[in-house]
Amino acid sequence: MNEHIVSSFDDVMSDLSSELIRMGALVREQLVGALKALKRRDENLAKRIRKNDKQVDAINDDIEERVMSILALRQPLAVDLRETIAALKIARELERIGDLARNTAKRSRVIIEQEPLEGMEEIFKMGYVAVKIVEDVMQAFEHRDVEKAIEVWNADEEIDEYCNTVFTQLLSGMMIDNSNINACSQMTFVAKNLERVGDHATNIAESIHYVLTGDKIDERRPKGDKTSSTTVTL
Amino acid sequence: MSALKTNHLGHPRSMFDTGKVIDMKATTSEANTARVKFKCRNVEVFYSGKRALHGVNMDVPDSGVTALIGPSGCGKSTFLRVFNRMNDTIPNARVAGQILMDGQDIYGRDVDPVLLRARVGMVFQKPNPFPKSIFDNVAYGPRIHGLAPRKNDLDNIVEKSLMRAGLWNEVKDRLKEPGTGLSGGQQQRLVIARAIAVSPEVILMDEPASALDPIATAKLEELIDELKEKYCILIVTHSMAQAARVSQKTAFFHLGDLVEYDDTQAIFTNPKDQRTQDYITGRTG
Amino acid sequence: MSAKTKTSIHQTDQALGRLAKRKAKENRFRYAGIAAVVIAMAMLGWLVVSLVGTGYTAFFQHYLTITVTLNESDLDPHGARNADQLRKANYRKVIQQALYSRFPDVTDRRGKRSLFQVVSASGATNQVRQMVYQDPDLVGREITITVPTSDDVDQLLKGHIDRNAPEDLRKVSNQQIEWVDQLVASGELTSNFNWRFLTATDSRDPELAGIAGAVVGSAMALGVAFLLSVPVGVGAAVYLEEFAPKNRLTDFIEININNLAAVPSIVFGLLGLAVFLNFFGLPRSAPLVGGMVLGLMTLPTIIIATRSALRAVSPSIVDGALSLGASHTQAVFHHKVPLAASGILTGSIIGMAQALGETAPLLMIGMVAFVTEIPTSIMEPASALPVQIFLWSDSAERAWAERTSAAIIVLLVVLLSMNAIAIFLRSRLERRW
Repeated sequence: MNEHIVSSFDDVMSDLSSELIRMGALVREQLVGALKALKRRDENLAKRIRKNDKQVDAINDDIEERVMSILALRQPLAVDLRETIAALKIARELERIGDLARNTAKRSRVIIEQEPLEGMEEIFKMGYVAVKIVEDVMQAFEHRDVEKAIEVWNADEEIDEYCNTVFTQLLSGMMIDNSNINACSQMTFVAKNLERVGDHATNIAESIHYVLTGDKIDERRPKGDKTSSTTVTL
Repeated sequence: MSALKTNHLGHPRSMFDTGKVIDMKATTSEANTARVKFKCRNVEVFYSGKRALHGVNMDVPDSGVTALIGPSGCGKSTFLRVFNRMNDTIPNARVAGQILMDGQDIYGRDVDPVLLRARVGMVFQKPNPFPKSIFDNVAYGPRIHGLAPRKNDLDNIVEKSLMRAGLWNEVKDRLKEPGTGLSGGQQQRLVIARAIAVSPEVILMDEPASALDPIATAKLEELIDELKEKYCILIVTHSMAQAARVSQKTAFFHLGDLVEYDDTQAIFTNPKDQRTQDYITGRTG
Repeated sequence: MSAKTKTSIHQTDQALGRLAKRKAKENRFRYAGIAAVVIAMAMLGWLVVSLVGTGYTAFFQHYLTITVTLNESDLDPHGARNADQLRKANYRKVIQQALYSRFPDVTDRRGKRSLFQVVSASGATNQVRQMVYQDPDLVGREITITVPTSDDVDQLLKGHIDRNAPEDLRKVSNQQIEWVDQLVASGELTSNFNWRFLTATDSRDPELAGIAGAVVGSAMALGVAFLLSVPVGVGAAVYLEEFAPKNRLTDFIEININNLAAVPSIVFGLLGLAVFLNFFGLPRSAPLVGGMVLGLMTLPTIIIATRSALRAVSPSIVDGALSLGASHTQAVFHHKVPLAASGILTGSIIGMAQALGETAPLLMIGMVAFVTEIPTSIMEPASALPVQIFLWSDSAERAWAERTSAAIIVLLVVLLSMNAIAIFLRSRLERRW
């Protein structure tokens, strides 16, 4: 990409990107932390994650402000316009992911109070896939990598698959022993959160694709999440 | 697992399941180009043998505003002057190729540039009212073309034109005063009224707002917006924001080439050509 | 000033020094300009003062009021009152007798001749002849007339002849001075406004000479020149500027027009002599030919002035007209020429003023003739004002000097009025856009 004739415009745009990358890293930390807190049953960590979400919100506000000022002062067009609007959207998606991490941390408190559940590896595997997706999508953003963005966009299917498995497991768990219902029902929310993380990452991938190519990714995205229609028959 | 009929939002997926992509853009642009006013085929302009325009192919729609943008010396003004044969007035200028206006070659032997210019009006960069009264400015065209046999007709034409140019209320009490005494924005609207008075089909505008302040520019753009219902308008502008605001189609010229021609929205959000992109976003190309 | 305070390089002593130098340089230029203007004004002032100083006396002339007896026996012995006889009669004698009776003690021939030299001989006789010719009933009566004095007496009274110079070096004798003083003392000899200078034609006698013939000749020649050069010049300029194809031929024509403007005027005189007089056989000395020559001479000036006036019209006005569907000719004649009109007029008037002051070409075609009649048509021989000035300046008598200056004053007044008209027309016609 050529440089702007007005070099300060370049500076402003690259500052905006850096801020997004910083936000992405922070959100990833949050997500990892929430999962860690759940896995290690670490109440303090969970607490810290909930508190840290304020930072994510602050970065989001900052990005909104920057976008506003770019729109007002630079009147971006074409790729600049797409990039600016995408920054707003990506920040929003990241902020949502941050919220999901906080929500996961919050639910982990209830889960920690209950007896530990057996056979929860799947949900943590799912969690790492979600973290990986967030990582990948932010890398695609940082390196302006269309291929990687499309990869992430396709990888969401994997999460959806995990989600279906975890959901079935949790339903079975609750049916087998109804003392697990408290923890399991919270766990379903965690699973749902992770699935939503995947969706948000996909949205980010779509934004990246639009910035880089000017086109939307084909709308017929493979959809793997069947939880809304999943039932377990005993 | 039988419930594959809904997507994750629970909406029926039929629209996407058909496998057919309905390109909304394609349909709208089809509607826009339903009637073509000018069909340009391989248009070239030479100044003293030097080629200023390199084989432009472009269809200008009958209604709406078409903007021509590009850096200085890209040939956009040269191209604009092709449509009313104003290049004929420049010594050593030569136009090659074919420009069909409603199917008729405007460079054909049977076309008199004088009559063509009555059909294709023009507004220039610098407001250029004649140093005559406001009335005489607007009446000049109808007079030379004999459009108003009686004084009454002339009065009507002048009033109607000034009204359409949004100037009537400002000047109705001082039609005898010189047109050069008006403000820049008013002068430019007076010049538009003067062009309208001959009942043209097309109005060419060569950077009409470059000498105006933002308020006068806004009034002019509002006027262009109204006029586009009745006239085919081609506008050359250096202000991309202006092109974006007033036009429905935008053509980007670069070094004598028509680089890209598309719906204005597409040009300003998602230009296809790197040169367009660089120009629009203010990058060194 | 502490070392930490940042001083602009434009506030240092050196900078202030440079500024002072620059100002001094600018002031020197201004003073030089003022000096140039002052010198130019001084020259002009000198010219005007010396012209007016020498010339104003020519607008006054000394006249002798004298009573003459028109004896029938002298003038019309047959009493027929026939025109031919009245014209031929000896009016000189009438004047002489009137003078002799005024100074009865002058008896000798030399004294009588000397006495008669006090009045303008031909002026006085012609005046009486004219009166009698117009009114034959005057014959036999006694009338009082006012006749011009001779130029020597006039010059004496104007102080141009030194009374104290030795008699043999002076054109007026002691006796004549005595008579003149007597006549002045008695109020018979007075100074009046010299209408004759403005209404009469050229004459051998300075006291009788006037510029009317030359003014009319000049006016006629100028009229011809105007009618010839303005339409042709403006037409040619409009064609060359607007319609002629731009090629080598028109470039060549343009260069030649510019060269023509620099051709010495006497060459145009030679052209007139060769073409108009020798080839076409037009009359010599006629204002028609003079006007044609002056017109030809002015043509390049008018063409150049018109072209630059046309070029000064903003092309955007013409574009505006063309874009409305005006033809090229319409655009030129509806907009360009009217807007250039003030420039065209100014150029034409200045060209005409130049022509008015031109002498050399008129000499070549014979407008240098001695003409004592005011011309009534452009085919009659005539003189022109600058030629008249040239002729008078060449004459020896002291009286011609003041008349030369006076004629120059008249010429300058005419030129100034033409320039004033040019300025007035420009301000009237000039439109801003």
